[in-house]
Amino acid sequence: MDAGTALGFALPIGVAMAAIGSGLGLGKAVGSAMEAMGRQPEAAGKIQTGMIIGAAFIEALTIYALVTVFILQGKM
Amino acid sequence: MGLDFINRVAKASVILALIQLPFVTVYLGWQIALGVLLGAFWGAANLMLIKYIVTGVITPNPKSKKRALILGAVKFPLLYGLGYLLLISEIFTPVSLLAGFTIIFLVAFLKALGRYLLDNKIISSEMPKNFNKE
Repeated sequence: MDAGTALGFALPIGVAMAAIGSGLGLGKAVGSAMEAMGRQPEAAGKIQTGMIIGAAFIEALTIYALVTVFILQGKM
Repeated sequence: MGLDFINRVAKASVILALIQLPFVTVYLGWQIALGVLLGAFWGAANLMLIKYIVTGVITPNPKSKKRALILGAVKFPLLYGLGYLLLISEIFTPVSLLAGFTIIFLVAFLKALGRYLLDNKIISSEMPKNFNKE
């Protein structure tokens, strides 16, 4: 197997793993934040801000994976 | 740390990207400078749209829920579609877009670090008492 073929296999698997990971992470983060807001409604503002920043970080990781795939695609 | 923090982070990262524009244009070229700026816009738009969607879904008002659903439906195809077009265009390098996209997280980290240091009185924003005293 040459490098191009290996990249052809690895790139879609890499993006899929990033998407699955960020999906699981987002689900867990938002679920926990909702639970925390339900327990302590007076701290909802702070929890919400932390959750939004966390969600943006998680989403960014998927975008990084996508951009990395685009960079590597040019080397196939 | 309220929702105002997110607005200030987005604003600061766009300002930072605008400041870098002339310097990076001179030293590395306009394509990289514009790529960084567009990446910063992409990150700021991403963060603001997440904020609007989350606040719209959590607020009990049915109108804001509807607005959040519309924003959610628009966000993914529009933002990722534009990102895809930027990436496949040969004008900007993917690394410059990625650098611009990272600015917002750098700003958020530094703002949070600054707030932590100020709140715990590790550094002080007040002037010393004997400042300007001959």
